[in-house]
Amino acid sequence: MRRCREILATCALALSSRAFAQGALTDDEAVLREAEKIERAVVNLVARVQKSTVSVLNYQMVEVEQGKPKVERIVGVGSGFIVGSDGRIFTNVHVINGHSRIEVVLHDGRVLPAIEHAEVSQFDFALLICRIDGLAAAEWAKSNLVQPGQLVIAAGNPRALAMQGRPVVTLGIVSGLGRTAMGGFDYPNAVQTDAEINPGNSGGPLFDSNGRIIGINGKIATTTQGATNVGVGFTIPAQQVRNFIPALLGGGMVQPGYSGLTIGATAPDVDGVLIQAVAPSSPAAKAGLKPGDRIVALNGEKIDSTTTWLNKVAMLPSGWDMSVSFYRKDKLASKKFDLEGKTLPLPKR
Amino acid sequence: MMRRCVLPLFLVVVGAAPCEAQSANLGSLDKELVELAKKLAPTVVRVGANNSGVSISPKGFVLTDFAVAKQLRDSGQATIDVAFSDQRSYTATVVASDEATSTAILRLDGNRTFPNARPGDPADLEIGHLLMTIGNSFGTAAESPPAVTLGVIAGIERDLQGNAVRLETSAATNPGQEGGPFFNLRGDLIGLEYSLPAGDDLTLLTPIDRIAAQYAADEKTALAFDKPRSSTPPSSLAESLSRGFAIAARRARAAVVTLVIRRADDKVEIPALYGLPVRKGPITGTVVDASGIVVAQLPPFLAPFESIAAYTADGRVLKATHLCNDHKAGLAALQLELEGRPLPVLETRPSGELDLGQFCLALGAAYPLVGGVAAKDGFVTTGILSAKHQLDVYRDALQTDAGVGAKNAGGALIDLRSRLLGVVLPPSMPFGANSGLGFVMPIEVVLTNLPRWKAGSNCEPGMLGVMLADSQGGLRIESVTKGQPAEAAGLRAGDVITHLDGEKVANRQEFTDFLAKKKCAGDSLKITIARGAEVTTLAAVLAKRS
Repeated sequence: MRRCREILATCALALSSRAFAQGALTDDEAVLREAEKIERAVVNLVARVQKSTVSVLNYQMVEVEQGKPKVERIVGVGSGFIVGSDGRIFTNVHVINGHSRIEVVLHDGRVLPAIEHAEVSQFDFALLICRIDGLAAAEWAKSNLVQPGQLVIAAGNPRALAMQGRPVVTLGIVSGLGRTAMGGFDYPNAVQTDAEINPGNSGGPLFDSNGRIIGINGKIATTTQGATNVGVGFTIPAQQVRNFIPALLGGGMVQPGYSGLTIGATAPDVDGVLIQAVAPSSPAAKAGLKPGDRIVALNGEKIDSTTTWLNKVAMLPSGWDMSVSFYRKDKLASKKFDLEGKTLPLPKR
Repeated sequence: MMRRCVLPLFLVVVGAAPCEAQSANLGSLDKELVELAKKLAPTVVRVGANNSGVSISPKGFVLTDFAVAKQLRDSGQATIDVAFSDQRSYTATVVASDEATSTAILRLDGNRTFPNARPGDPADLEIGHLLMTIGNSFGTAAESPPAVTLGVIAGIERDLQGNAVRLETSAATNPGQEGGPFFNLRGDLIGLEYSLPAGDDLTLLTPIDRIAAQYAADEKTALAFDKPRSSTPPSSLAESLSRGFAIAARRARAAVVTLVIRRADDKVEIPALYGLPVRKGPITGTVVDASGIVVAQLPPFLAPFESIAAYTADGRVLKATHLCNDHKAGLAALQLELEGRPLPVLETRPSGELDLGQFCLALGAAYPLVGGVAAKDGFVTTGILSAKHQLDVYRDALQTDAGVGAKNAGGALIDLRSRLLGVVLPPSMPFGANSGLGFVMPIEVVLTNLPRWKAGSNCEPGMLGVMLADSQGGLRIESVTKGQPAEAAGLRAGDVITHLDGEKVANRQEFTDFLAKKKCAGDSLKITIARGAEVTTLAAVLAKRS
């Protein structure tokens, strides 16, 4: 790899010295050549990320004519991406909700049947399985390395513009991290991006400049005039999805970890968050946590607001443990307990 | 070291081919942008609950929206809270305010050397330059850091002396960013938010030198501004990209003209196009042919026109005549009277040679005239090629995430080398304007249509009046609609269509593509069919699609 880069660098040297020999390279020409190198890198990146992006078609039985038998039709479309070469695909729950049948369209236009294997309903991500080998799987990015300002590419099927494959790509940057976009489906800890995301991009991937998955695109802020992009898209962070993958592989409706805690804000100048209620016989109750306890850290990370609390708790599937440091009166203590949550079967289709 | 000396010789022998595929390390560009955002964020402040601002002096001066001063005055309050990204908060009072630039200067009550932004060089403003904005847009919780977005200087509004009065930017901004700062990619402050996107305008900002000049006479505020920076451009990737966009836009500027169309009775407007209202002010035209043919979005009025004037980049005003409207595309063609001085025509690049992901710039010229001539800078948005072969109108539309709106509809889509890739189609529903879903008629389709446009024939989508099905035996007619051209031509259910105008068609897609690309209502069409063992060719005249 290193050697390759060296070769390229020397190649540039050779080119420019030749140009100088014919007459000085103008400033503009030098700048354009640099810009074209960036362009080439983006083109290469796009070609790569498109291969692991799919369009998702949601078929449902609908009554076309009153009194006549229902007919199966595409009622919604979205996007998805391949994470396993054996046909594992992620998308949003809201893309496949209510389906009688799911199809995915690969980048090359091949249409394949897919079945829903598992989902986390609250957080809007679902795992599909498509029985075919040799798909181009994308790798996950490390969420803790994602930073505001870095380049991203969104790929997918906005406004059903990639129904024959050929995912639509848009370029932008990471605008912010740890955004909380709740309601309908909850997007705690979301990545905010100005890459243009529109209806139909839902479930699609947000890639970093290395072609790795930063997260799943799912929500946008819109103007009052209509559901078009205003430069604010929200993406489910890769780390949250990855934490749930072991549970998702087992199939079914996977639950976020349940502690039994109800949390509220502290007084303005006081650190942490306040326990308002503890559900009877919940994991938190069994561990001995009580209303009035003031939590200052979760799994070793500082908690400074209810938003941080929500964002961090959302990363934990059932079965994971939660360790909280808290003040009871003025005494610091800590407790560790397992989060509960039963995986339920998916609804029958 | 030795290896380095040997390699160039080797490569010269092999040729330049490996160099063409040369690509930059995007990770380095990421790093530059991330570092820039990190460097700038500490200078950006939240003012009260609803505004943004920027610290402009280590001594605690903050530049923000005029509305902040007005709100304090109206409510009788003396102070407002100003919070930095490190969550430190200060009480601030208004030192001065100026309605013309829509700004106010606050003085912070705090004993500290404040992180501050420094003004950039006003001489260095050019459309296409990238800029970064940081602000407290909606969707950002009070305690979370502000949002960073990237865009370009899309337009520059100048006064008669040529000074920049207002800048327009494609960077995304949202409520909460009123009074927020915009930086160039060297990290210099270049302007302050003036208005959020509204109507045909993207975000407008007031250039920083204009703001500073406004306060310079007042001794209370004269010292509030740090010295302007006149740094030499660093050789960064981000800077190359920024300057590259500006160069590409500058070199292609002459290919777009500002069209002002008048009608004696301007009440006869063209009905809203695809659900979006038609622009009434100047529109953009793209020169596509050396004989002076210009393609533009549909004129705002129905013919006849009282006058059409084309304002060129070099300050000429040319008479133009309207040739035809192409309602299939939402474009019109016009003929300019060149008076013996031709306009430059850009080199073209057909869609077959384009790569997805390559940069494109959507140029426009639909800017208000300044002193009776075209605004010198023009208008530009930038993006990448998102897809090809989109839409059912002409089938082959290019798609870009470069913003497409009233200012550059009918404009030129160009690449970094200022080659003409196509003509920007007007935004349509449900895609919307400036939504990241912009469509462009590729140059080869423009050129295919040129003879028809020159001949002055309007075009509306045409139809044959058949229901088709892809079957084992080929493209089969399921049924023929009563009273439509297919019936008159003698087509029947069960016929298998094999050729249109002698060109082979195998399925429904190819059939609709053929009509969309090549035919208008009123055109004649030869349809070759297989009926049992018999092969015959019938003729039809296409009807207007209702």
